[in-house]
Amino acid sequence: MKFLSSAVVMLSICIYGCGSSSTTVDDGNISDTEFAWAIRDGIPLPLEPIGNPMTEEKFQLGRHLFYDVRLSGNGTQSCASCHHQDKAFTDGLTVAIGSTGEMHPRNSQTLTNVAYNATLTWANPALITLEAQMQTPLFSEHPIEQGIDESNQNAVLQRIMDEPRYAALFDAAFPEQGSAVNFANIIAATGTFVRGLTSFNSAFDRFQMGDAQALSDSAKRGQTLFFSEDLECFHCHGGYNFTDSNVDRTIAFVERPFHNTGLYNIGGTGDFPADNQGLFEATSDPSDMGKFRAPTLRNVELTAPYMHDGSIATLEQVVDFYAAGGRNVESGPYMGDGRLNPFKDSFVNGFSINNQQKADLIEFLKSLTDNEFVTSARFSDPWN
Amino acid sequence: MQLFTCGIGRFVLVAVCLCVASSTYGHGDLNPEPGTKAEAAVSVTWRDQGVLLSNGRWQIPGVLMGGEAYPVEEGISVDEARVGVYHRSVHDVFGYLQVSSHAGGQEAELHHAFAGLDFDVGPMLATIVAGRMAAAMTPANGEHASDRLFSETPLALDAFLGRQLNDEGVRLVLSRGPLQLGLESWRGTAFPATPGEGGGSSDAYIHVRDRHGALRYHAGLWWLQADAMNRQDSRYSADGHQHGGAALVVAPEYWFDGNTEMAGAFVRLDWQWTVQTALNVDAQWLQVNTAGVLRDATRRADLDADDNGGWLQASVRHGNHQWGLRWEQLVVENELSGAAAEAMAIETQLYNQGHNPNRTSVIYRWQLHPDVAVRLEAMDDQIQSEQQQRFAVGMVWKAAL
Repeated sequence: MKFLSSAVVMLSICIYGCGSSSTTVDDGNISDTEFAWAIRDGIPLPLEPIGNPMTEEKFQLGRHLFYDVRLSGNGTQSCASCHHQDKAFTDGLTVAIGSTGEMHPRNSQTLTNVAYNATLTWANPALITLEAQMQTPLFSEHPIEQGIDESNQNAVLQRIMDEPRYAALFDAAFPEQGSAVNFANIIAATGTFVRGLTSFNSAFDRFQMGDAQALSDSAKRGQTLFFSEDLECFHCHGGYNFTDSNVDRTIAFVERPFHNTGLYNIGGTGDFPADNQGLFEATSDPSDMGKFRAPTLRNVELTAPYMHDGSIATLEQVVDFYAAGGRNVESGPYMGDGRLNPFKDSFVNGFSINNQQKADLIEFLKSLTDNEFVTSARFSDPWN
Repeated sequence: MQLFTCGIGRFVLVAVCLCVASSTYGHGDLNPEPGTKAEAAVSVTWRDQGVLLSNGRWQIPGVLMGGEAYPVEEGISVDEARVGVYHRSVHDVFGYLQVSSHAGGQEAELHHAFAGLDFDVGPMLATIVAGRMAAAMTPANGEHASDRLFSETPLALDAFLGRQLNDEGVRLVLSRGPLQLGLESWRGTAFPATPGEGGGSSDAYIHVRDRHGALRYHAGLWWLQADAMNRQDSRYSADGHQHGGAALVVAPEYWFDGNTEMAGAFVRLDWQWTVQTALNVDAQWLQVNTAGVLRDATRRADLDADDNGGWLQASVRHGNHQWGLRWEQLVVENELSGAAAEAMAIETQLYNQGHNPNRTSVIYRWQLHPDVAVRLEAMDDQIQSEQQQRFAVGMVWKAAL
């Protein structure tokens, strides 16, 4: 009897006297950084290239270069020509137009949180750093974007050296280099600025941080729809950056997915327009036809028109497109029913949605707009 | 007759007999007398509120959950419905078949199906059992709403055993007098293990069960180890059980690879104070160490968790009336490491800073009829950091058929 009562007492002590619950986290100092990232709690930091660590000085130099038309072959176009801050660093055009007037086959992508992109551009699995990607807009010949080539590159550098403001900026950004004005440093600095374009201050973010009033009732209903298995949106546009093509310091296994959304199905063969065939252009694998990277939906309200070729004008039409499970092009050279594209992603199955639900879904998408991001002086044109 | 001289043959025969039986036998001790008995039980409860959910899921803060630890829901629900049959031959071969529905489940399932054999080993009685059954390391693991004083499953069982460790396996029990030593080996289909390569679980226990005068007691120590590979919280998966509306919830996709070690101790006392009045005490304690890797599609973190949990329950029974109190608490200590430690802690809801999930329940139970009882319960639920008071009225019908 004494033993049993002792046992009961001991068990009571065990249950009651175990202290307080706790969770400790040792992330190996992955959050260490010397750069002032504008990133809210709960969002991991982006990767910083070993060869191009983030510094405020490079960021400021890159900001000047980003907005400088001197950084083009004919001195007429800057990075910002296709990436306007007020449009979340897109340009509002169906497709981009280069410095010589040549049309790019694709729509200018937002630079919102581009530091987190697992791949850059619409459909190139090999482009995984901003520094590598920037070679294309600066130097590509087809299509010509900023149009820098062998014939004008010295003149471009001279123009930059001739701008008085740059001497101090380059010296601060690259203090250990005597003559720092070269394309390697221009790319490093511009890449630093673009990498620093982070946007995590939307109504959705405030809601996530505990402000229950940050989202309207309509947006909350839209959020439920967005993350439902009926609409499937979140499968390709999930996570804190609303894309499944995402990398940060916490990620051990990087995924670089691409998706065919059924936008075209030329002749019923799954084909896409010849100048815009997505991942297939890089891999030549027929099953990669029409596959593109899912862009972030942050600031999507500001980035119309939509899709890789800018062929859908409004968010309402985008919702209708996904509700239909693709697009049926009924006439013209691209005729074909995209809904039946054999390479279409399994999540693009179509769904039923009424007008109220559509309005709610769009209200949620609009809650991803970060007004501070598109007005912040830190990201704005320093030449104005 | 020759078939009966072979142990395997006895198993086969009993299994065949059980397959044509259509009812079940209740939990608790298996009848040592030869013959066939059947039992059925139903527990129905109305609650004024369901438990607090997190993103539509029931998540105890700081615990990796799984198995069949479903939340109680507002309104009327069937906590348990079961029917079963038990048969024991004169040759000490026995078997048990039970079909049941638990936790608001809409579909009945074969919950128990096992066969066993008693035989002497020197001065000891040996029992070997094989099939699908509840682990016996603590009697609480084998109990459902119809068997317990309270309608809700003890918090520690929900947290650490996914409500109940019910699996396919083998049990060997050696008994001598009041002492019982048990060894069990499981396929791993039940939480916290997984089946197949890298999975499986086993446990061992020692129980003492006796009476001294008016005092009956059952006490024990036990140990369990479970291996898991690619373990997910399957409670809300669309292809898993369809319990209520739970399958509509989008569960975060993460996996656990690793090992769980659990140690437990319990004491159950039943003191028959007078002919009409008895006092009951039930104290249980579980200590759990979980070590392994948490990962999702792109991230991973190492987890080392030391958790404790248990409950104290006391009741007074006078005639057909019983009043009881149960206090339960969990203490979780999680350590996550690796680049994705923080992200995985958030995703898996392992973050718990200073909150000990706990619940206090009181009950009045009235045995209206030998087969029918009514219970009135009130719960002060602080499982989440938010507090909730919940009331319940229920009925239990339990009868030999």
